[in-house]
Amino acid sequence: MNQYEILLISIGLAIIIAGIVMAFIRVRGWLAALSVGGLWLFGMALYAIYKYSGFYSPTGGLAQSTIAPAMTTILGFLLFLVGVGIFVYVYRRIRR
Amino acid sequence: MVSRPGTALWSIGIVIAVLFIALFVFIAYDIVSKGISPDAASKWLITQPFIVLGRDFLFAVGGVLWVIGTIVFFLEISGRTVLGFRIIRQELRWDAVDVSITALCAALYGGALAATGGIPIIPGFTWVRPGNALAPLFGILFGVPGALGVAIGNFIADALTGYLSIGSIGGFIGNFIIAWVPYKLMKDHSFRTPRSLIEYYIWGGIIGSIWVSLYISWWLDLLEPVIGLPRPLIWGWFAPWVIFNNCIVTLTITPILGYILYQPIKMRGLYWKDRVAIKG
Repeated sequence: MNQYEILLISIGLAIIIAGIVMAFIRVRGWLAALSVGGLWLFGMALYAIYKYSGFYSPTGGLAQSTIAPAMTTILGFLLFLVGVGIFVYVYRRIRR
Repeated sequence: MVSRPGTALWSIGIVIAVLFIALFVFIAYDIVSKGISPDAASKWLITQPFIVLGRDFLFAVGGVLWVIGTIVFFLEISGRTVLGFRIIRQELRWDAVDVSITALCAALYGGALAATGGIPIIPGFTWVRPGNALAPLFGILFGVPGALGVAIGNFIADALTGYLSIGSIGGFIGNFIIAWVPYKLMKDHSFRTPRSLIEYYIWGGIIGSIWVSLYISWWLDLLEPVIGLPRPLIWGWFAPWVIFNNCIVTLTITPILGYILYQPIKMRGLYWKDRVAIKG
């Protein structure tokens, strides 16, 4: 792990810690901070999985000779469907 | 009595929309006919202003936009906003609905970007991104929670496509700015009036795309020794491509999506103006 990866992970952890502190002192936005920090670390976890699976090209982007481009397309569609699912859930549940 | 915009105003709105779309369709033709490689980029029509203005000028302007954009980002997430020339408190609820909106925007935007992540333009830095059409839309409809979702979605897409680096911090705030510009600077978000259309094409289409391009390019230029994209490529290839990549979809797809989604979102009380309290 290089120093820039450590920096990016630290940012995610710092946001989560800020969220926990905000929850303790009852500041509005703690749930948002925890979510943002969690999603940031989720991004870093995906990065780690891809990196150690050899899915990244040495010149940047995805290694075209691996299954990475196809897998990313599938994961992208799945993530999009998750978003649609949350939208439908929120849209149906919310009351004015 | 509700006043309806006249035919003349509608005609002006439609002419402006068609002119913007035609310009970027022509730029697309220009790029395809000349090629996407770094050598060809210097011949693109959209690159010419960058060549004329030069790196030093663009770096200075980009620096100013970077400072303003970063201040705006931290102001907005700290519950403050700019109204006129004043900074005021804007009380977001940040309840389960707002957090769900952030999560759904992150998933939709990140997923849409990642779905085309296998088509690189500048390996390691950017790719074909039709998902960009969602960024201004989420800002316009959902405000700060939507813009924050866009920023996170871009970060996740960077991880899924092999573009995650220290440069992604610039991409995080830069994508927030794409959503923030039309959210904050458009007065009419309905996509149902000529004024709304004209405002969208200026703020959401053009200004937002130029701002994010210069914001991220400045960040990449500043960190050039670390990130490694040479400065001539940042200003002569990356920056014009980002403007084109944003504009071609935000000028064509976003207004259609906005027209379809604005009314149901507003009727359900999810539209951001119905969910914030402004405190002078």
